[in-house]
Amino acid sequence: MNTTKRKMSRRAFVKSASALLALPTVITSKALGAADGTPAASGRITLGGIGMGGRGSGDIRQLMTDKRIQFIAACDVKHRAIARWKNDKNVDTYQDYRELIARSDIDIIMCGTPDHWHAQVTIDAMKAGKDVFCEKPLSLTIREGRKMVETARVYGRVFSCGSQRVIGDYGRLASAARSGRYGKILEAHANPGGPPRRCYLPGVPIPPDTIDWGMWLGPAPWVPYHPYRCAAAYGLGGKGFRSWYDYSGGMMTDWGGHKFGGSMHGMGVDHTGPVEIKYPDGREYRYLTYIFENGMKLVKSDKQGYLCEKGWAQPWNGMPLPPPGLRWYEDGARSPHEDCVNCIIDRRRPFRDVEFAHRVATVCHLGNICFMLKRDLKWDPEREVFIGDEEANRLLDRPRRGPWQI
Amino acid sequence: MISKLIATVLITSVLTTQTVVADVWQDIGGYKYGDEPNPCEKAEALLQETGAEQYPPIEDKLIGVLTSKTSTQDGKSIACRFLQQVGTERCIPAVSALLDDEILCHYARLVLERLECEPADKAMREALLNVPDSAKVGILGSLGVRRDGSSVGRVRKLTTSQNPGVAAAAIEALGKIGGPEAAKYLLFMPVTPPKKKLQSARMKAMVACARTLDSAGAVALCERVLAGPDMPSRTAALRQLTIADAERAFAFIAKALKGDDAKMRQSAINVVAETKDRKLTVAMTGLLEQLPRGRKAELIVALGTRGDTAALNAVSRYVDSEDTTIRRAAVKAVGKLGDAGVVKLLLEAADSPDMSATVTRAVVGMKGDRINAVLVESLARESLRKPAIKVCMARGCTEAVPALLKLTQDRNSDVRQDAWAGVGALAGDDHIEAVMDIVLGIKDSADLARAAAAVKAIFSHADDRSKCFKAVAARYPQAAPETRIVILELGAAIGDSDALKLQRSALRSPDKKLSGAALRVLAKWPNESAAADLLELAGNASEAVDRIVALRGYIRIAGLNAARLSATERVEMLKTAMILAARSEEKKQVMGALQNIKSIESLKMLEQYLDDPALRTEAQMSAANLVWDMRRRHPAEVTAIARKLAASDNRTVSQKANRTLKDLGKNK
Repeated sequence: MNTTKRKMSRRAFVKSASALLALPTVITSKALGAADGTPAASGRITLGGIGMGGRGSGDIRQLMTDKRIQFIAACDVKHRAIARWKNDKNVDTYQDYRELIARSDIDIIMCGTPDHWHAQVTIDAMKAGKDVFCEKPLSLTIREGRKMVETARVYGRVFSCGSQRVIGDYGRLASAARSGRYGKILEAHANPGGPPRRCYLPGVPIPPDTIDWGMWLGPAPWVPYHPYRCAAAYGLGGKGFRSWYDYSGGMMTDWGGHKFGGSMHGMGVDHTGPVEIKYPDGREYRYLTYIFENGMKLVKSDKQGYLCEKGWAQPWNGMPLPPPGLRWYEDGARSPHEDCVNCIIDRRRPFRDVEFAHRVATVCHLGNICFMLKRDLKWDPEREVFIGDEEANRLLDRPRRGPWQI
Repeated sequence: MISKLIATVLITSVLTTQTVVADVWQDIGGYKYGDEPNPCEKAEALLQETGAEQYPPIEDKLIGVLTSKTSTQDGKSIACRFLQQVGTERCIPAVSALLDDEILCHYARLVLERLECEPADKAMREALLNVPDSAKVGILGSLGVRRDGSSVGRVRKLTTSQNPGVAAAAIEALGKIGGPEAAKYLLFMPVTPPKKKLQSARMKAMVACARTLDSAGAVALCERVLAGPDMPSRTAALRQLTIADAERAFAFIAKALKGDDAKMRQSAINVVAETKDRKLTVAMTGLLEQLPRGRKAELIVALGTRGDTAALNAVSRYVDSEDTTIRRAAVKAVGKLGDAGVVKLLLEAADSPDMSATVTRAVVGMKGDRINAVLVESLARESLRKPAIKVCMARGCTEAVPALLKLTQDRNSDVRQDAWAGVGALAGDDHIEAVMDIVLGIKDSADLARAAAAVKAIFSHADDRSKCFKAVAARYPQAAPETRIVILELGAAIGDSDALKLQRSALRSPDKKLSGAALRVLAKWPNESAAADLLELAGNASEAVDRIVALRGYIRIAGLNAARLSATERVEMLKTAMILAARSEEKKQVMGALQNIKSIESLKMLEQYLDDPALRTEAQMSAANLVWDMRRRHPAEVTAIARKLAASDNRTVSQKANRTLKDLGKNK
C-alpha cells in the first residue's frame, strides 16, 4: 500500500477529528453536497477499483460520472496500471487487493482484473461486505460462477456484471423479437468468437518494477513469466491473457458476455440454460447450437438476430422499448453502471445480476467444453452438470492454487 | 467419423511402435516451456480425436512421465493437465506422490480434486499433515471443495497451526465440509491467539457450515455468528437464520430495521427482499407503521421486490402518502405486487411529472392479461386519461387505438394533443383508413399539425407503407389544401410510382402553395425516380426559386446512396447540374456530392476545379476525401492527384493528401 498517503481510514479520521470540530474550519461545498445534486461526502457510495487496466479504468470513469459515487482506492499488480493514481491525493493505491477490501470505508468494488481473478476478488469482497461491479465475463469456470451467485445471496450483496451492449447494442433487436410482431422466437443467432488455447510460451526474466508475477497468476497454475501471457486482453500481436486457457475463456466468454448475453436476454432464457449442446457436424447443425428446454435454439452463426415464426425480427421506429415482459434497467437507468448504483441504494437485484451473468457465462463455457471434447453434450441446467458424462463434468471447475480458494 | 478412424490408427501405431516412432506422450516427459517441436500441442490434437475407450494406454504413458526420474517439472505439470481429462484411480499413486512438491502439488490437485472416487480423497487426506505448509493450504482447499467428511479430524489439527494461513485455510475447509462434527468443532474451537483474521474466518466458516445442517444446528451457528463482531458474517447469518427459522429471525430483522447500524439494516432489507416466507411478509407489513420515513420507504421497496402479494394491501395504503419518497416507493412496490386491479390506483398517483415517470415505469413492468384492458377503460376517465395514454404508449398497448381515435376529437385541445401522440405511437396499417377519415375532417391548423405528425409516425413503423399510402392517397381529392400537403409529404416516405404520380398532378395545380409543396417534396425524394422531373423543373420552372429548389434536389439525388445509379450516371447528372447552375452555392453542392461517388470519373471531374478560385476549397476537400477512399483500388490515379493536393495551402487538405500518400507508400 502507498502508506505515505494514507495513515488511517476515512471513518477513523472522522472519528478522531471530531474533537477538532470546535475550531473554525473551512469545509468545501463539495464535501457538504452541492446544488448540482452531488450528495455530501458522507452520503456518497465509496468505490475501490481492483484491476485498473484499460477496461477497469473505463469502468471507474463511467462510475465516477455518477455524483453519488466517490472513488477512493485503486489496486493493480501491474505497476504501470497503478502509477497514474499515485499522484491523486484522493485515491490510495495498492498492489494486494486484500488490503483494499479490508478497508471498512469502502462500499463497492469494481473488478476489472483478468478473468481468472474475477471469482476470487469478488467473492472475497462480498465476504468482506462489499457490493460488486464486475466486468464480464463473469467467471473462468461454471462452478466459479455458481459460487459467486451463492456468495452474493448468502452475504446479501448487490452484484452487477458489466456488458453495456446487452441493452445498448442488442436491446432494440431483443425488443423487436419480443414485441409479438414477428411471432414466437425460434432461434437466436450470435457469434462471439472462439475458445482460448493452451499456452506453451517459454519463461523469460521479469523486467524490474513491472509486475508481481505470483499475484498476477493468483489461482492459476504456476508457470514462468512471459509478457504475452499477461498482456491486456488480446494486447501484443493478438496475444494477451484472453488468448490463454489458464486465464480466460477466450473470445467465446469475452464477447459471449455481450452477444450471447444479448441473445439470451431477448429469448428470455437468461435465468436458465440449454439442455443440449450440438457440436457443429456440417450437416444438420452447421454451427455450434444450443437447444433450450422450450425448443428455442441459440446458434453461433455469423448473424446477430432472432429468427421468428414470421421471419427475422427487425426493430422499427416507435417500437415500445422495452415491450412488456422484457427485463430492462429499472428506474430509468441508462447503463449497467447507473443501474448498479441505483440497486445498491434500493438493495435490489440489477439488470445484469450475477445469476443472469452466470447463466450467460455458462453458455459460453459450455461452448468451449463442446469444442474441446468435439462432441454433443447433454446439460442439466438445474443441477448444472452434464448428464452421464464424467469427462465433461471434470471440466466444470479447475482446482485453484495455494491460498486462492473460494 | 473418418477423422476418428484416422486418430484410432494413429494412436494405435503410436502406442505399439513407440520404440520406432516418436511418442508424443513420452516426449512430454522431457518437455520444457518454449521447446520446439512441441509434443504437448500434438498430444492435445490427438486427444481431441480420441474416444474415451482408448484413454487407458494414454493414462499409462502419462503415469510413466510422472514416475520417470528424467521427466522435467514442466513435463510432469503438463502430464497432470492431460490426466485431469483421462486419469482414473490407477493414476492416483503417481499423482499423489507430487503432493509434497510446492509447485507440482497444485498440478496433482488438478487431477485429484476432479476425480470422482474415494481414493482421491484418501490420497489428499493422508498427505495433508506431511506436506509443506504451502501445499497444505491447497490440499485443504480441495478437501473443502470435495466436502470430505472423513478428513475433519486431520483438518481440525491444522486449525491451531502456528502458520495463520494454514489455520485460516483449515477453518474455511471445515466450514465447506460442513456437517454436525465440523459444526460442533467450529462452535467450541479454541482460537489462539485470537487474531481478527482467524475470528473472521471462523465466522464465515460457521455461516457456510450452517447451510449444511438441519434447522436446529443452523440456528445454533447463526445465533453465535450474530452475537459476534464480524459484520459481513452477521449479515449472512441473519439470512441463513431466516431460512432455518423465520420466526426466530424476525426479532433480529425488526431490531436491525429499527436500529442505527446501517450495514445490519441493509442486510435486513436484503433478507426481506430475497427470502420466501409468508409469515415474514406479514410480520414486516406490521412493522411498517413503526418505522420513520426513510426506513419505511426502504422496507416498502423491499416488500415489493420480495414479490409476496400478501404485502399488497399494506403497501397500497402508502400510494397516496403525502411524503413523496414513501409514495414513490409504494408505487414501485404496488407495480411489482399488484395485478390489473391496482392499475387505476397507480394512475391516480401520477399527479406530477416526477410521479408520472415513476407510475409509467411501474405499470409498464406489470404482467397480466387484464392490464391493457384496464388502461383502455382508464382512457374514458378524465382524471386518469393523461397518465393512461403515456403508459399505453410505453407498453405498446395497441388495443387503445380505437379509444384514442375518439379522443382525437375531444373538445379539450390538450386531450386531442395527447391522443394524437398516442395514435402516432400505437396505430398501425390496420388503422390508417380510420385515421385518415378523421384527418379529412380537421379544420384547426394545430390539430392538423399533430395529426400529420401522427400519420408520419404510423408510416415510419408501418409493415406495408405502399398499402398505407394507397389508403391515404385515395382521400387526396376530398382533402382540404393543407391536408393535401400532408399527403404529398407522406409520398416522400414511400417514393413509389403512385406517390410520384400524385406529386406530378400537384405540380400542375394552379394552387401555387400546393405545387410549391410538391416541388419541395420531390427535392427530398428517397430514390432516383424523381430525377427526370427535377431536371425538367431545374431548367424550365417559371420561378427562379423553383429552379434552384429543383436543381438542388437533382444534385442531392445524384449523390444519394439509396439511388440505384451507376457512378457514370451520377457523374453525368452532376455535369448537367454544373451547366444548369447559375450560382456558386449549387456548384459547391456538386463538388460536395462528388466525394460520395468513388470513381475515376468523379475524381477527374473534381480535378478540373481544383484551381477554380470560386470552388477550389470544396473541390480540394472532396478530392482529398476521395483519394483516401479510393487509394487501395486506384493507387496510380490517386497518387497523381494526391501529390497535387499535398501542395495545397489548405492545411486540412494537404494533411489528408499526405496521409493518403504515406499509406500508399506503406502498401507498395
